[in-house]
Amino acid sequence: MSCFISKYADELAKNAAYIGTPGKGILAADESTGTIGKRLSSINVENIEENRRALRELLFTAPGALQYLSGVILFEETLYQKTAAGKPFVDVLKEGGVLPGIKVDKGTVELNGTNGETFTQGLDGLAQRCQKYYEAGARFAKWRAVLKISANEPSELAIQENANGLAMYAAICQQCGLVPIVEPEILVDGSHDIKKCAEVTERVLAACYKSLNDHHVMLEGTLLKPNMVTPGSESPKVAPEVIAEYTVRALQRTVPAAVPAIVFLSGGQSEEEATLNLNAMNKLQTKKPWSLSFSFGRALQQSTLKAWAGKEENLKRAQDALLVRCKANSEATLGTYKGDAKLGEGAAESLHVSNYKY
Amino acid sequence: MSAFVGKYAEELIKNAKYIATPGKGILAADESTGTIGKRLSSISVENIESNRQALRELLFTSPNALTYLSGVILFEETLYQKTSDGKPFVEVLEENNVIPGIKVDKGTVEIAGTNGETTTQGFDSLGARCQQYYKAGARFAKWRAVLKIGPNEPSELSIQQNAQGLARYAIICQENGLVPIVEPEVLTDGSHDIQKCAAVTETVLAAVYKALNEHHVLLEGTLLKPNMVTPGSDSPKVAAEVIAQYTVTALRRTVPPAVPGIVFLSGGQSEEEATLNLDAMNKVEVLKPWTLSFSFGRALQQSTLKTWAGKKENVPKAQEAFLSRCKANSEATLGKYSGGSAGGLASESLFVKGYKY
Repeated sequence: MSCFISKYADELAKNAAYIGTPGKGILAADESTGTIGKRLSSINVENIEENRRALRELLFTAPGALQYLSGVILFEETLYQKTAAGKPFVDVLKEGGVLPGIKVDKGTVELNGTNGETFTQGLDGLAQRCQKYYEAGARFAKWRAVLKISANEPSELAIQENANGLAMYAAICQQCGLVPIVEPEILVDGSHDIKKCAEVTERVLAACYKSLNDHHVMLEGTLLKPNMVTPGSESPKVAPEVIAEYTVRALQRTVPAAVPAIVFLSGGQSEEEATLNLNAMNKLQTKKPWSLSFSFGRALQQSTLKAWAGKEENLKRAQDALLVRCKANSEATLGTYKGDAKLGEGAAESLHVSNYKY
Repeated sequence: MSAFVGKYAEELIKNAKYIATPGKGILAADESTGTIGKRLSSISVENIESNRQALRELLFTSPNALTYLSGVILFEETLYQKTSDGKPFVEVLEENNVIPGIKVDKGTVEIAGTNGETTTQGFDSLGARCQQYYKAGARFAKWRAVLKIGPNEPSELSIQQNAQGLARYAIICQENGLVPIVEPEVLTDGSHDIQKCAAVTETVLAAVYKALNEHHVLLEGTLLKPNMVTPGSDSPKVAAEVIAQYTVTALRRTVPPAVPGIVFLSGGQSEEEATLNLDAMNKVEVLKPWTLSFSFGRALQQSTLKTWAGKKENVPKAQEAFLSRCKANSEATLGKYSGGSAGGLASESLFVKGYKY
């Protein structure tokens, strides 16, 4: 094969396929300490370890929610945390049929000589860290590369550096038993139209899959986490069916069938928007050899966070809000969402933050 | 889009999809004058225009054979030839719902500084030639890039040159209304095993699709004509199921779902081998977002040629032989071939070292 067959090959393929199970998706709960701090401060909650732990316990023990999830991405701190009763989060997830995942990148840094473009760091000692995470129960990993659209962006340099970084990270993960989620996020910021986003997305994805091939990554044991193809944040919105058409076509032109599943990021979309768009994609009658699902952070947690507001007495309300979004997105992966989910406070609220870092 | 959507976009997509119709495939009858000469001399027939015309007329007028074909690739001379009754070949094909195609490359030349690796020529006035061919009725084109497996081959230079060449040819075709068949043939010559062939095929195909993306080629309006993944010609043979598994895996890892159809070349395989392998691929139970069919030259014509032997009285029997292979391959595209349409001739290997045509 042109791909390197790691000793974990069968396990990687099995886990990647499982994550893509129709009806299930990923909760991205891997906000770094700094980023979760912004979330907590938006509901006037102090950014201390206990509160971060309490929030994640709220999410992972929400009754009925785990059945709609195949994976949860964790930040390193969370991987080693426990419920108040002393049960490791990793065990809670496993018992619920959910694979624990781990964010392994260390954020972005600017590329010299570009107009604010970035590459992602985290390769140093990555193999050792992955081995540790595997021992702690993680079975997949996440690495976020970021590109932007502007007059001269993304530049060829930014595309190459980020594609190369993703491929190196992916190869290392596979050697250590972790399914790499490949995330080349093209930010929604800008006044470009949907055609421009499609063009850039296709160019970026083509570069990613060429790099993955160069680095001998086994595609059957990977997942893709791309942006949906949409107009820029400053441009008029379009219908979910239009987003679905452009998105699926971009993927058909670039993502080989060997990739078992595509799990979209929500970017700045509101909870409801993200669900409606995912649903429209799954309703589209066209060739889709990979399953189309979700890996949502903000778009799964926004109304939950608002309902919780850091207060223990709000626990049930908050967990109900999470269940509503999980179920809605599960239906969206099957193309059966009727748009009738009880909208929690803020479910229709845009979550766009300019030039988002997390 | 990252793809060029010119005035022919809809037509290209429609034609590519039609060529990829399950149950149909392509007859590659585009042997250059030199190459068809070798075929004719193997049956002691003189290489003159009327004999070349007679052979192609035999093929295109074979009763019922055209139902199994969606396209025929022609050499330039043939595009303008007629039946002995005076009917243009292009019309014969069109009336039978077979799309005429045209070989547009001008053969290979060696890349200096490599160990016998090649690049393909044919860019001069390619756009203008495509326009002429379109006027004459052609709706798809073919361009053969060649790579070989050796200790240091294929080199990165050869892969890049051939991938870029294919991409440039493809976009020029699309600008002029012809569906480009993209053919990156990795030769079977050698003593390597099937894993090596798979690794090289995957590397080459990944480079090809990267180049097609760079050149803004509309994938929905293209077809791929790859080699099957097999052991080298000097290595022990393996079962059709093994070839099928490695081939389909390689394609799933590299060919985007937007491509409507994959039409295999037969390389040096015998008629029966090629059919059995194609059939096995269509039986593999895994998701395949493109149809898997044939674009066979030798593997469709070998027994027909031998049966004909250049003699008019042999034409009906030769046409039956041709029909038999067309039907067998049609069944193979549906995974329904039950074997046994092989005469002794059909099992004969057609391997020629360092094949040029």
